[in-house]
Amino acid sequence: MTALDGRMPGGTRGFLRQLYFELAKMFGRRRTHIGFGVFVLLELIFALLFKRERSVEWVQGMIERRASRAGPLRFLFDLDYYYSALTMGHMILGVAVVLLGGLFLALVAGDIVSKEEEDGTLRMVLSRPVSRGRLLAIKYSACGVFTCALIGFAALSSLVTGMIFWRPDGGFFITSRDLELTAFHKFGPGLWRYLIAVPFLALSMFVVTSLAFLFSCLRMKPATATILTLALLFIDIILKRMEPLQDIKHVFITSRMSTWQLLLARDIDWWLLIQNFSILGLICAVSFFAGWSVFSRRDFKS
Amino acid sequence: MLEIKNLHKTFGGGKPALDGVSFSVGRGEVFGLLGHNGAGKSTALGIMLGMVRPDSGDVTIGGISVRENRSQALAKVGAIFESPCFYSYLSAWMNLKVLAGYSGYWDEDKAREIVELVGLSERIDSKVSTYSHGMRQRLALAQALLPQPELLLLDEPTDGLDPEGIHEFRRFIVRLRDQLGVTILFNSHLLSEVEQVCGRVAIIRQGKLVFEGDSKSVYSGEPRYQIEVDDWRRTSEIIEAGGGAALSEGRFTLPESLRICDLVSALVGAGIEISAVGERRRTLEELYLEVAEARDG
Repeated sequence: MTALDGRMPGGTRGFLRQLYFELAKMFGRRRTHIGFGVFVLLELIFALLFKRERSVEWVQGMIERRASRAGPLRFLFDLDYYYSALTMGHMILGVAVVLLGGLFLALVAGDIVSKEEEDGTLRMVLSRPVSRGRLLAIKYSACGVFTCALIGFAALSSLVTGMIFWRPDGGFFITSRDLELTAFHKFGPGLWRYLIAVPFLALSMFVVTSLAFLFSCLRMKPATATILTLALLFIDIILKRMEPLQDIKHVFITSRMSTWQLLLARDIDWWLLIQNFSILGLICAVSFFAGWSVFSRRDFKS
Repeated sequence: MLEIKNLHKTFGGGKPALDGVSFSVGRGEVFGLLGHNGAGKSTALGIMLGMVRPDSGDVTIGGISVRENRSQALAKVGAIFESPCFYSYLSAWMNLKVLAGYSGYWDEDKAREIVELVGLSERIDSKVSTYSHGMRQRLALAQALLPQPELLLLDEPTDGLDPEGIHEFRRFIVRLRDQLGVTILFNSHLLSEVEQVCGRVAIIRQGKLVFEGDSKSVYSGEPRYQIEVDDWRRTSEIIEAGGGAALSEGRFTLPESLRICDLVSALVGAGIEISAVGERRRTLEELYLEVAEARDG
């Protein structure tokens, strides 16, 4: 007899068991694991590229320039101290998440409903006495767990990569052109800020997951759901970078998604952070309910 | 146990997939739902399972409306689809757990019993990707039996099975009915298959119910025969002289007063060479045409 024996409980416990099975399905696919492996590989490649002489000069020059803007305080900075594991780990994480995070989240969330429909397993599930709303809630929660797992893993592995290749106990230098942000932290507070920022990065990336989830609920192929999500994000990035739209660049989704880095600023703009995350949360909620609304009206013929 | 009430369904503004279909299946009955591909059988099954929303009409299972309370109505229902699909990258056992999880029910001992019953014990921990079609069908049966169903909905369940598998499956269905009293709806396009296991049948054609009744009554009326002779023209004259009707080359009916052996004697006496003769069962298509003709008067 196992813990699953007997009639499964309803409510939260029943939901958690169903979520466990959904995750077993998700992580049973080889494709789900590939993202984790590729993240490590890409981070190692970036680390090696950043170790090149020109890259070292570029990063150190940037730290120096930003420090010099700090006025008389610049004499307090030890530049070598800030060319560290935390600084480089954050830099690698930023590039890796932009290049791969969106892709893997869109792939997995884009598959979540439409792949089951394509494979024919959805009809097996829908023939069970489970409501469509509950089914989607289970799947959406599984997407949430995957997003946290992938981003958490990426953040941790970036930091470990940084610690392998750079000074592990150095300070934390952060710069962001989009947010017009520059900050310097000592190791302890810097590490703390890094760890605090990771859940917010995961929340930001959950927007990608939610959009892919929405498309997955529509009548389309899994690949189409993934491509549509990525296309939407690319269009957003391109528009955000266009010169005539610079005055409103803060309204674009990807701009709002990058505000997790505000947690790394010396003085955190909590109001801006709450404002942006409320809007991101709204996008996630609308994506889920729009997906649910379409899915619950669809006919699934065997 | 199962009541289908005046179902109407049209997909995308085209021809109606179901047009006022109604029938009922009693508790413990094995009921056949017959029809060609595209006749509307799968749509009807989809509505029974709440996967397709009818434009009007309803389905009740054990008196509970699928439209109004789907989860409760399907609590004791198992279903098997044509070409069942599973999570091929998971083991068969994990597949059963995942699917049972959606029913909110899992009993390890019962599950082992069912796996034993369908003959998959030795391979239950193997990945489904290594399963043959027949094994997948047996796994489909196992997952349908997990919620200890009172009603089993089977959509072309023997499709793709080899003759041995089909025979085994039919025997299993009969056992389920006899030993467990399970009500079974058997969806098929094969008249001969349905006839062997079902007590009653309904026939759907172009979304309309054209026949509902005892499976034996499908064959009621004058028996039909097929004969191979060297002279069909003279043979048909003799048949018609005896009160029968020559239908087409080699096919004919006889009145009740005339036995086939009497006709054979008459043909032999007339010097006609007979190479084969036998009763001929109607195909589903012929049955459709007959029903349509009867309806048109």
